[in-house]
Amino acid sequence: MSGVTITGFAREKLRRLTTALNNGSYRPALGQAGARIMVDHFSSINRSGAHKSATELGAKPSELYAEFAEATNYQVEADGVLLTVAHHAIRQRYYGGRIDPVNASRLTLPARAEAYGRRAGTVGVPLDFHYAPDPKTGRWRPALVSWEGGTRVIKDRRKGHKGEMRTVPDKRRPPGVWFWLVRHVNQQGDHTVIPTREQFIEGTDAALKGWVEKLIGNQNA
Amino acid sequence: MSVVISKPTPFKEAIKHLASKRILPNTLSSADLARLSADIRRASAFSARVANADFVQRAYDLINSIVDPQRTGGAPGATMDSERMVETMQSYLRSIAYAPKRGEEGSLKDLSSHPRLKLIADLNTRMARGMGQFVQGQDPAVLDAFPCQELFRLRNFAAVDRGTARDWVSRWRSSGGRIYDAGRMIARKDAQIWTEISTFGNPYPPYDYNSGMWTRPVSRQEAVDLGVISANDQVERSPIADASPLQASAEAFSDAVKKALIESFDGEASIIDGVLTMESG
Repeated sequence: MSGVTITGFAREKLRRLTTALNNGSYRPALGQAGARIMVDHFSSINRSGAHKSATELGAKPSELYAEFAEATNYQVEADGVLLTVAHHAIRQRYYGGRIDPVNASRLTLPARAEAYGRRAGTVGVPLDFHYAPDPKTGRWRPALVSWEGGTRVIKDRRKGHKGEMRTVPDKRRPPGVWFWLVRHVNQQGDHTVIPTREQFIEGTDAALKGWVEKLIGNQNA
Repeated sequence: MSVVISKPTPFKEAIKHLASKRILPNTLSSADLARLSADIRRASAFSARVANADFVQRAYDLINSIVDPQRTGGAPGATMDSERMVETMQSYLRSIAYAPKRGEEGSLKDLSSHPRLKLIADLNTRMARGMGQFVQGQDPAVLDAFPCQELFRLRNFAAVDRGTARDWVSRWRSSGGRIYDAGRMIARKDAQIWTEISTFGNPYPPYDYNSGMWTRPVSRQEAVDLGVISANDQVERSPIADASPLQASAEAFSDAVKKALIESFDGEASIIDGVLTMESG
């Protein structure tokens, strides 16, 4: 093959492009493109309502994938770009694995909507260890039970009690089983938690097209 | 690009933002604190009517651990999340014999209540992340490639289903925003609208209490195709991305910042024993 002569305008375009590639200025743009793909991916999962436990209990979803989206960022390294989700839970979601209790003998699983997403220490009702029948199976299971439920203080509007406060049951903290207790949990890994390589490639191509065009001066005015 | 799951990498911009904050003990209501300039609020760590600096410091240490999971060392059971933060702070408040006013138990005015502590945890965590993503979006090459961003609903869809969600489209429009592509709220990154729609005066999310709205970058090509910008438009970098922390000593705000704090309240406030206090009580 004979040599190729690059004419002036193409040389300039290539110069701009290679300058950007050599000085690494493309990396933040690439990082942002990747972060956008991640945010869209997590947003889609969050919106899809794939909240099995919350749905079964009739509870408000934890929106964990929204947290993943908010924690998504990119970090430029000497040899490339890292996309990162600065959240403690994503590794467990991706790889799965066994979860054992730490500083306790059992893990707690929510037994009612009011307990979902909560720790035993934050539900605001005294809880006792007891065995209770699981309504799904009929079998007795170790549980944390509130015998009296929670209370709240309200203004007393009854006749003759104006200006007083009174304590009434808090319907948001009813008596009954709040948590089931288990020795450990085995969680399945889920590789759909993050986008695929193909999704990244396709997404960054589309996202950076306009930037490359502007860089080499190809836009229509 | 390889998809490799490696050990976590710190969200440097979010961590830096939290590290720049100075504790601001105060006796002010949320409404009073809203009168502070956005610059001062961004540089401050505070909670309404909390004069206990130790409380604020502990809360922010825990928020730091949520934003930077590596801070806790990664040992099983050591990770921090908002629920664990609530539990830790409730334990601390019990240790100092904190008691809410009668009738305020369980409400947002009760510093030990779950709603109050969860709000502190979630709002400040999200603000740090929002600021971190905002700073990353202000890189010159990123501004070139992604000169615009979109306001979209990331969470709180249950509120939408119940009909109790805020009307962000109206808020967007009344702040001068335009709608594109049958419902998308998109604007240049340097547009004033991003602070206009914010209750907190920040150009980054969250834009209001318990808000489910967030932002995502919009590429140059997409923005041009939608008519948001022209092909060669240059978007200006925000000075907030480069803002150095308000001049402060290691322990407290500098005299200049204290003066600015007091001036924010037209003489109605003063700093007494390090606590920002309203004169009227």
